[in-house]
Amino acid sequence: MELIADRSVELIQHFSHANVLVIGDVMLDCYLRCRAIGIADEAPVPLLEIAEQSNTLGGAANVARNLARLGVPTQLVGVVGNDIYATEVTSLLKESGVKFCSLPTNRPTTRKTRVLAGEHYYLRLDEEQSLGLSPDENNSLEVLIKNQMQKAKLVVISDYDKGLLSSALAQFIEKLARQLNLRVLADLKPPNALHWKDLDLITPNLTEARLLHSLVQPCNDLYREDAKIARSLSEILRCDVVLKMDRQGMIIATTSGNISQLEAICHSPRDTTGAGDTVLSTLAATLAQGASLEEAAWLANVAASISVSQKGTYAVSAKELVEAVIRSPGFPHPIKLT
Amino acid sequence: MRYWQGYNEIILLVVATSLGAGKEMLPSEFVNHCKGQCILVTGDTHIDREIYGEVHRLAPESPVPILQISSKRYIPGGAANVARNISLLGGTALLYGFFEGDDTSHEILQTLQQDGIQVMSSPPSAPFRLPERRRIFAANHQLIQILQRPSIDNYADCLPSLSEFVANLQTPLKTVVVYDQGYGFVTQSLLASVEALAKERQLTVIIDANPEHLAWYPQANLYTFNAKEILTAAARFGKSDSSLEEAGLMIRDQLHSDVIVTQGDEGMTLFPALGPSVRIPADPVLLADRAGAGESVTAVLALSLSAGASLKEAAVLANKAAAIVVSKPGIDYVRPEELLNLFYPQISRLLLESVAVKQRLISEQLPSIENVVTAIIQIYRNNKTVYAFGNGGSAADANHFITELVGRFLIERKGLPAFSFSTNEILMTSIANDFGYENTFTRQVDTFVKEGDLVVAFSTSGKSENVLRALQLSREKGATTVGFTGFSAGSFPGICDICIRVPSENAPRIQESHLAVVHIICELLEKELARSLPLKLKEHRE
Repeated sequence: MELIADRSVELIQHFSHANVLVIGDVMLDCYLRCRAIGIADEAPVPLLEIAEQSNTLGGAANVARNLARLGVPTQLVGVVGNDIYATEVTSLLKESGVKFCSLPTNRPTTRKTRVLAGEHYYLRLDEEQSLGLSPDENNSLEVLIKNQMQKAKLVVISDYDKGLLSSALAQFIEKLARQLNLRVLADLKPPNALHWKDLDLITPNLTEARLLHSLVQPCNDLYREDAKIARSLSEILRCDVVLKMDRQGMIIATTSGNISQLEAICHSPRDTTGAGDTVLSTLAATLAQGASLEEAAWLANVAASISVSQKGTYAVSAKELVEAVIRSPGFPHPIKLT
Repeated sequence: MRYWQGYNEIILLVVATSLGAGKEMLPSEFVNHCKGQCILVTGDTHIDREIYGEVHRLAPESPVPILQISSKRYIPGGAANVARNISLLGGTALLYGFFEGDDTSHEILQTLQQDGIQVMSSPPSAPFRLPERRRIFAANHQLIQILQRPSIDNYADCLPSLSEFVANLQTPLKTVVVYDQGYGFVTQSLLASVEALAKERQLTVIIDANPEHLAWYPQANLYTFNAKEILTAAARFGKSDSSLEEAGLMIRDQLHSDVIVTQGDEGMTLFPALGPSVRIPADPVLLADRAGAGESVTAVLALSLSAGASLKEAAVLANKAAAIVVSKPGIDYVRPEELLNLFYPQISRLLLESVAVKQRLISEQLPSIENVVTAIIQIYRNNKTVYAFGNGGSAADANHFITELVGRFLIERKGLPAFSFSTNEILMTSIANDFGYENTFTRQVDTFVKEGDLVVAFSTSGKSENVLRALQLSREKGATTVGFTGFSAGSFPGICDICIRVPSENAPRIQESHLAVVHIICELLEKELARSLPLKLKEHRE
């Protein structure tokens, strides 16, 4: 029991030796915190006044931020628009210590704006254009990816179905990763998972896993046990699966047929926003050093418990992770399932 | 000096204007006099941003709608919008405000300058963002408005002084407007310099008031409030339960100035500095939304007062302007011709009716029109002839058509063989006399029309006996039959190979459209024939 904690501390201390390339949909999460000041003069609609505005990184940019915060040298490849939000994303990534290789395009920077009146979440405004890229843009993107992949030890894909990761680009990335002998971890929107043939690990949540399963095995029972879904996905897609189940923790299914469950540490989370990104980045940071999937998942579970205990999208630092590991040696261990 | 002097006479609608004392002037004439008036506008400018989108789903993190943004636009609001309204109505607007900062402010500044507004602005020392009012719509349904205050306070201090701005002014300035939304540009020192300038140059001062700044306001010619603002203003003087009338009278006395209170769909009330209040009810309109109405009202008041209108005349005009703007969705403007339309309702109604028929024509008759063009081109390629006929106004249309073909329409070219049966009154009266009126055209069809020719018949009802008989005979002789008629069409559809049915039951409207279609046909077929037939085009000479 002590052993895994000691080993984990060692792994965390070596995060700075890893080098991870993140490719995916870069987004900006904007928060408009407002005061409700009445009803508008000209139409019977609520009138809010902005009290505070803040921006955080979203999508692939948040995965990259999480990795950087864990102390992993991180590169990010993605597209942005030709607008002020692109500038904002770039400066936030720079602050986070991520090397951002961006491709400016004519589409707007993907943005989600949350309008809050006091503590009350009122409306979300999404601005995006998720059509595919032009052939020229795709070529430039491939050049960027090729350059960045030479230095990487592991590749992380963060797909939010915004038109970046087409089937062709997926094959390009997989081929290149194979040549360079790099592992590819991916968090995918279910329909796009079919673009990929040669992944090492996917990290769906339960909803995504069920949807994905229904896509790859259309006739199968949707309501089968979670563990069986994980195993079945792992067999069909020939990759490891970490199934994220919120308060139920996670199920780990490997291609070698091992299946185990990790119980969640934090049973009353404050805010689960962005916890998936924390899990993915901790897995990537750990696996990049050749750790086993069980070790990586154990650490990811600890990181997730820190992330969900904080309000908003939280990135866990290496220091916090070490402290958590040392302070609480009694964290749950994977239980083999049969 | 004050424009409301002699107010009692104005109440009796004996209008005295600076343009001719004693001569009564129609409000509509002011629309024309508004052109060329020079008005200085100052105060708070903000950005009006409209965000449109669709809602298809709820956010996964919390059950709130997700608006997928499909389009956005932004326009200058507040003082800049007043200036724009003035400019679009033909006046000259000078804007003393504060813009350059971020890209949006810069673009707004350029838009204003393109509109011909002379803007006094200077780059801010600190990063500056204009205040913003965002209106968010889901499929044209407004969901919410979000205000954003400017990034710095008291930014008026950063500008060169007002007197410097107007020092080198060529145009004679008549009026100054202060648009106070409480965003921080209107300060006591700005109001003092406006007062000094007005005194020096004998200007009319109009202040779109903010109830929070009552204590700062000097005596002016006119203050405007909306209903909510006047009640708030009264409450600031300790009268929190007063009626609009009481509040208006009280504020008028406090400010020693004329006061106008705008009341949305109830129109407006005037509170002259001397005398009783006057109600001006709103014109009944189909309300789209009230965005931009306040600015248009202020602009029209400023222009018409500068042009010499009385308070009441200016208010009537401004009230009409508001009616126009609120009938348009989103922020919009009032144009001089729209204001005039309101004063000549019958003429504009008839013209609009004619426009409406042509619009229906677009939605219903485009294929038929194209078919006629194709058929006539074919006739001419086969070296055949076009004949046309009709009675009365329709006879004129037939002759008009033939004239364009034989003469020329737009291009210098050889004549196209065409002939009208409605043109020879000696022949017409002779046939009518000897064979009966119903045979006036059959006799000519029988004589001239050959197989492969094309006849064009005009009849708004589609029921004229002589026209129907001639169409029937033409068809029997192997000619293509084309009919121009109205919506009911009579017997035309059964007897015409191609039938152009103008979607109206009203003969004059139908005939106007017939002429429009004739011109379209001539233009298209002339273009096509000039291209494909060796018509030996000559250089066009004037």
